[in-house]
Amino acid sequence: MPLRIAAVGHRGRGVVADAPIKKGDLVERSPVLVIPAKDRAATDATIVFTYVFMWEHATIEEDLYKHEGRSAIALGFTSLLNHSYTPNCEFIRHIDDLVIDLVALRAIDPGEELTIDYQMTLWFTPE
Amino acid sequence: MHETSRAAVIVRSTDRATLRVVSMGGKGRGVVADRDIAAGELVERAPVLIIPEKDRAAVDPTNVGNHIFMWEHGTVAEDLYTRKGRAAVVLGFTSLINHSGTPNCDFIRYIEALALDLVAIRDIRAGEELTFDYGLTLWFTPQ
Repeated sequence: MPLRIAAVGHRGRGVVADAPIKKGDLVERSPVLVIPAKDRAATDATIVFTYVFMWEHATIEEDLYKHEGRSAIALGFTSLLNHSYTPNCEFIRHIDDLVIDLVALRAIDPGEELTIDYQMTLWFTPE
Repeated sequence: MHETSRAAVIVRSTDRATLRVVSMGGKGRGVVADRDIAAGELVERAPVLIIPEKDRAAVDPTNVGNHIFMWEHGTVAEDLYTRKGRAAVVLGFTSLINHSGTPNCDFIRYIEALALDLVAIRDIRAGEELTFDYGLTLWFTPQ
């Protein structure tokens, strides 16, 4: 799907749709860069922590705070999506394939910002 | 590799040739062209995630550190080893491209725009692996 990086005020960068997206569309499929469990202590203390997804079966994003298991950086626009409690996209982790899919939860208009629910205790105050 | 201060770089997901991630055996994953790519063509334009200088000491020794680019004006890839200045993770297939001393791609960093272009430096056939020259002292023995 056509996407564009845009400045979205004090939230920094965000991702907006460059064309209409339909509910259920695969917005982006990204390979991921895995961060092994042994590296988590180091990377979790850095800016990397605010971008990673949990990357173990049967884990949820809140488990990131346990600092156990693998995490992963999505190598795509998916990494720059901002949080919303009423998001228009969701992510699907294909753990063994090292791939993450971004899927539209509803129709999205051109120029509209794409969002996901980070599904964890936030380290910032959402708008 | 090149660098530019051009700030008005629009980063669109459509600025990508069709690429595929494949398993390359001992080298792990690699990226292959899904169609013929012409010399000079933009292969991928990707946004980057900045690693601030203060985070470099923690990040560089990890698996993330094996995938970063230097992200300051006037620096070369070899400067990674000084751990000074910002580095960046490229949020695209470019991060999975293997090294070659005789590469078929090159990259251009747009430091202010927080984007990186991967460009074909010769014709690439469908199914061929994409490579670029890491431009630094390698931490592995290249094939």
